[in-house]
Amino acid sequence: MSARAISLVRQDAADGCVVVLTGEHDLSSVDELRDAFDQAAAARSVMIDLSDTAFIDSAVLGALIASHRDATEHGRRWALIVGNGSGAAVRRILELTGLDAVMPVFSSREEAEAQPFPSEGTTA
Amino acid sequence: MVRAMADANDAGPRHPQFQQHKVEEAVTVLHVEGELDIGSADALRSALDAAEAQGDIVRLDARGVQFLDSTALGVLLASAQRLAARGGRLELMNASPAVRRVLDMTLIARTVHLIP
Amino acid sequence: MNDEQVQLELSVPARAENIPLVRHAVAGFLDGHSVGGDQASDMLLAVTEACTNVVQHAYRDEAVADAEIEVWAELADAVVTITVRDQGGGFAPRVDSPGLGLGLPVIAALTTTVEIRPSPPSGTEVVMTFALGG
Repeated sequence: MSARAISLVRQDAADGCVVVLTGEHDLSSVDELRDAFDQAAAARSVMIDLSDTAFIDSAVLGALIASHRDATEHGRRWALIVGNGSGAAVRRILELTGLDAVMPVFSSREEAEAQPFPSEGTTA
Repeated sequence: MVRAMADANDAGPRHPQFQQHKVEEAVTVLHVEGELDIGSADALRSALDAAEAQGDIVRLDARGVQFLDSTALGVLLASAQRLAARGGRLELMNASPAVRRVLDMTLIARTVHLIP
Repeated sequence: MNDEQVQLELSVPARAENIPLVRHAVAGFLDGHSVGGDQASDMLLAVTEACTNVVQHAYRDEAVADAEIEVWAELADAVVTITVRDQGGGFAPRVDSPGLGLGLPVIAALTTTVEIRPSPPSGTEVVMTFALGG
């Protein structure tokens, strides 16, 4: 079993930042998650990688949604990575809340990187 | 500032040591030395499985356990459940104050028998 | 066959840091009864959501030093019942509520039945059942 961790991986060439979550995350780690998402927001492209995340709940979803909304408002590219290694609860909470249909979710970083950046000067 | 939440002690996984022997026909004592946490949960499960196969009463000697986290607690509970279901029990002896605190807080003492 | 149903009972201070402890204790209980896979995963998500509600809402109006979350789990007749109880101010909707308010709908979707009832004198009990099997 993986210990809980949050790490930031900078991708300087692409002005990107990947926030990698391992282990289980819930209300007890949500403040640290928000800090990490804030740090990542300095980059033009943010990916939140849950492919090795064992567990998330609606508290974590709240932080993910806030990060996505902030990225959208500031013209950043944002993606959530959920793969076969993601814990059952990760897929479950996204599917129960319908957020897997509303947020940009990909099964790998490569797939997410293929997405275009938001166009410059988005209008409201 | 983001704090990496992984264990600060990154010298590599520290494996706890397990040693078992029988004291009576029904009682298997399992001595544990080291930290019982998420990293050693699988090893703890294996050690308990082996002890459970020997008889219905498993007595965990926790004298050498400095640290017990909630993942390890879950593993202990599962073992206690399985043993109780067949009329046996999991006992815990020589628990340090820190380990007792975790067990007391969770009232787990109902399922895992603490030997004073 | 052992008639006595071995139950789980725990009481932890109502702080976020104890939510994983509840989840792992329930995980151990389920593993001990050979309940695994997606069923167990759903139960662990539900109990996490219920405990989060307690930590976020139940004791908000009072600085209750010894505020606790009590959790029971039992397995009987192929039904797992998990109860989460607090002695705080109840689940009345609040305009200043932190979080998304998704906890209860998610619990409803994960459980076979969920009942929220007062727990005198001033608390709330969330009783979640999960019918086992396909």
